[in-house]
Amino acid sequence: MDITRREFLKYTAASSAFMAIGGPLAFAASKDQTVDHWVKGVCRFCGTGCGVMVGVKNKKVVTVKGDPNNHNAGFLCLKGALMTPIIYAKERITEPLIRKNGKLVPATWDEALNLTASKFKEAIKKYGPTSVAYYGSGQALTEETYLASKIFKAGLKCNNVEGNPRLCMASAVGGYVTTYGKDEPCGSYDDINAATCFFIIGSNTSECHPIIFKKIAARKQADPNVKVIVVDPRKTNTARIADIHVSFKPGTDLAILNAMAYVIIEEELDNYRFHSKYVNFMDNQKNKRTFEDYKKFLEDYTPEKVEKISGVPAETIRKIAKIFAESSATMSLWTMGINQRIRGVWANNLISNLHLLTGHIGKPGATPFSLTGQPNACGGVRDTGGLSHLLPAGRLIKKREHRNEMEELWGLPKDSLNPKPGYHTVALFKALGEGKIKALLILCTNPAQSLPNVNKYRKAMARKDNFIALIECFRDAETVKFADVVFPAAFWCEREGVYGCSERRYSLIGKAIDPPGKCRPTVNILVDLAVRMGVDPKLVPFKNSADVWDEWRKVARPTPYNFWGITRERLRKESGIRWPCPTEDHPGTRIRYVRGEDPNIPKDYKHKYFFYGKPDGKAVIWFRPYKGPAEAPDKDYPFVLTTGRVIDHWHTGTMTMKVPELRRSFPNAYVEINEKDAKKMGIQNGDRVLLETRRDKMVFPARVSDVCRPGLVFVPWFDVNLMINKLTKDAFDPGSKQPEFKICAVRIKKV
Amino acid sequence: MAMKMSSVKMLVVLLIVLALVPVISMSMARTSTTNYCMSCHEMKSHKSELEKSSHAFDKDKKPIECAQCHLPNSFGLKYVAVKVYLGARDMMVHYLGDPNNLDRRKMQQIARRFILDDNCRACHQDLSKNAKGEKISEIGKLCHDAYLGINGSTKSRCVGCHFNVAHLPDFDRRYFFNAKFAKRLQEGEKKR
Amino acid sequence: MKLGFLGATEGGRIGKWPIIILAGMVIAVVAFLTYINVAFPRVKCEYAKHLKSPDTASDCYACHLKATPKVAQDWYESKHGVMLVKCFVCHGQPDGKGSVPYAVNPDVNTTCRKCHDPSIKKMEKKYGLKLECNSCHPFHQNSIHHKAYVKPVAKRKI
Repeated sequence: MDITRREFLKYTAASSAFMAIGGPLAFAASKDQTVDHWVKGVCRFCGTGCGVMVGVKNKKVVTVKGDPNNHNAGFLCLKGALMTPIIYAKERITEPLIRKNGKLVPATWDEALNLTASKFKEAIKKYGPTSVAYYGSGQALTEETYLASKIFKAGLKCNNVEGNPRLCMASAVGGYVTTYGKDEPCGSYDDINAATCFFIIGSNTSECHPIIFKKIAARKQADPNVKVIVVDPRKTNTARIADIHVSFKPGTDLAILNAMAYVIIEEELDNYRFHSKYVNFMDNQKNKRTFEDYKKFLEDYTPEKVEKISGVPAETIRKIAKIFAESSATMSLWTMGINQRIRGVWANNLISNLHLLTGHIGKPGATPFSLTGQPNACGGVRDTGGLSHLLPAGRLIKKREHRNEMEELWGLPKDSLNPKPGYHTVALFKALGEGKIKALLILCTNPAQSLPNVNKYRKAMARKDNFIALIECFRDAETVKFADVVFPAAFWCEREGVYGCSERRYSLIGKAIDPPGKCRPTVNILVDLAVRMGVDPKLVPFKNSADVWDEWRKVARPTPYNFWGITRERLRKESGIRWPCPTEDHPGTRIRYVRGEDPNIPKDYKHKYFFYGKPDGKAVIWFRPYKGPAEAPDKDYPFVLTTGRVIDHWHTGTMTMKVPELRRSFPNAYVEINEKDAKKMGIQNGDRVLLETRRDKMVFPARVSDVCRPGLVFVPWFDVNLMINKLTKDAFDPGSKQPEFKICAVRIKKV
Repeated sequence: MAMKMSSVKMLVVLLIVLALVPVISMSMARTSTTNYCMSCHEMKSHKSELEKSSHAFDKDKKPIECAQCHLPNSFGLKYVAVKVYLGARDMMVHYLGDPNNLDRRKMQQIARRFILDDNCRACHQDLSKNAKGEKISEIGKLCHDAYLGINGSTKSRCVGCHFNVAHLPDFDRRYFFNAKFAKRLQEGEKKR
Repeated sequence: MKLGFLGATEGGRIGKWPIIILAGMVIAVVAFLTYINVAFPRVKCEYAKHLKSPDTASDCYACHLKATPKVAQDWYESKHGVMLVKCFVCHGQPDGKGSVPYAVNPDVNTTCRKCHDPSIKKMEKKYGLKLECNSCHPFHQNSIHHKAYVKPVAKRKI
């Protein structure tokens, strides 16, 4: 009888299996994939900015495919290809919510807008304009960030305008500005097809920018002589196509980059003609120095000395430096491994140093190229001035002539803009915790999970006496827990707008469907809010994002950030245009700072290169000494903890967790440990491992592999239940104010 | 004296056992024929399904017997065990249970346990071809490679993937891979 | 002097034999059922195995590396493997709870066209409409795929 009962249970399991396979098979057969029309857009995820075509049928998005005319040539990564379920997730917020007695309850738009506006007005009245703040995002549209920045800086005279690109791109901005005088990369994705050497440092391109990795792999496949050098303490999937993978002690890359410069000069592989004509040498105190001084400075970084610091054999350093310099066109790619560091700006400078030293710049295939993490961090926030020290199009708040220029463009009285830069991200949330910020508007980002040492800032957000308004799409986002008012926003292809990707390319996301419920486009929410907050309606005369775009073109026109030719009509027709683009018939710029390529340089300019961001037109090779991480491993905390992404999930998982395939692929975070370390501690795959830093501790399942080097552990940061950012350190780069997510000391224990 | 006595007895026992072997084996063989199975009316529907299925005849156009699949093909411990077990079950259901209301879902699970791979492989020797001698699909070949241990090692037996090859209860008719079989059955039912 | 052959007793009292035989029969039945259970294990439907741990069902590669190493290795070495286009992107979820329809042979229109639309259109122009990419480009063992990355690091011996 026992058998029959067991058999009954088995039958239940098996028959449910039958039903499960029967269902989808029937579904697959019946699903008609013809769509009514395709709408052109850009992928919602990473900074690669792949063009997508959204298939609409019966006013519903049924599928997506790659845009064949955009740079991705029709290809999408797995996240992009599986995007559809996110739009119809059951967690979508469809009506405004107001927190009453600790609970978020539905409200009307008027109630929510009036409440928010009155709280902001009250705070400004009582504590001055610096008591309110805006925290935006590299995922918001260009128009949204520009508008929010204008509302706060021009309307409320408050410079507390920040965004999560501070956690992501600030060091790259600092690097570009200090070296070349202007932000944004000089090359483009086209360079990938011309490069003969790829120097990938601090980037897991394969998992974080899959389509760029595809381009690199395709380039390598087309020409086997193309060299790929991957410099990363983790042997990631990117290293699979690498000729040389250099693993080093985390945090010692500054020394390695200086050692490479040493080798390049020692082997006389530097391009003397280039750097004597177009480059200034400067030390850390911004004093002009000479090439001889630079040589002397580099004597501290002979490969032999650096071997002791970094653990990379001197021979390897010599080899990669030679490959870098000897190739006909070298392209460097980097992301957060370089940016999210206590010396991120310096590391960015050092990569540019190598390019300026060897002259691998401004030629097809030869460029330093920083990859961005978010779909619109490059465009939306950096260009439109969505940070606390910036004004639109690369203007600085500190500079009076820049302020005056903006006052004229915005129709404000002279010297009416607030001349004091606002709080940067970490300081902003610290001020929130100290009660200095009374009202905060958060747009399209999830700081309750994405800030470093997040416990501290969650406490700040949980304070009863501050008011947090949030514009968000999903009710399960962690920050919703701290919001007093939540505005339901139209998602991705439910409104029209422009995204700008890593290579200065701006593409339009077309409106494919209507937003559900009472959701509204963020531009309209911001305009409504601004008017109710008492901002002069003449400052925000916008009906939709196209109006904002036209004003942004006007604002950017007098600067090297020239968008004048990128009209809305052109964006609708073409799949992305790269600025500078001064006229409507201009095809966009592939390479900056080069005569004949860059429209900012007169055609009859006397030299080939012109770094117009700098007063004397010369880029800078900086003397940047080696400096270790803020929290190096020690006796008590012997391991290095690093965080990052996996290919299946993006950022805090708010979107990717809605896709069943992606959710199941990585249902929870894990800790990646080297085999040798695991053996020593008796840890096996799947064991529970306690990670403890000076800030918090947490238990993760273990994944034993050879990806991490010994002494290093890796945890992805997408998991909301296992928030690794509770463990990370909030030390930040003094230059760019970007926190060091990538390195902190940790101890691990099997439990 | 005692020794002698017991050896005589042993001899007697041996003779009785020897005499019983043909009797038992005969009866086992007799009770393993399709005709014997059909002596219970509840088996008739299974037979009618079999006749419409792809397993109605073997390649020499000879009708395939119930026992060819449902009992181990070689005489041995396994054969006896299955015979006893299934026989006892059938008798219990026939005399004590409700033979008009068979739970075919439960029966599928039990029957599947006792259909050994050797039974299938007795006819299907070359797994790269189907019974008609046609090459099987690429995917099928990969699966069979895994089964044979060439590529991978599935622990599944034949019936882990192949089901409804000879019988098709109502609840299994909706699957696309049973479409032909279901159609043939439906036509048969209409005629009747 | 006479020994009871089948447990007959001397002196009329019940001996140990009936008890032994009864116990033997019980043991025999138990042994028989145990044998049946061991020698004829339950056959689990192959699909049902995918339902066992639905939360990790998308990590196909981890299991299929053991279950079907050839297919897994072919994928790993193919372009799709290097680019981390994972199984579920084309095949969906075996339990059908995914957003992609589950299919052993992925449908060209729903799956391949997401990325390869331009090349499919090119092929259509050349050879007419073919809805079976697989017949010329076997998904896992394409000659184009196989030699795509000659770097030894791109391959891993199992």
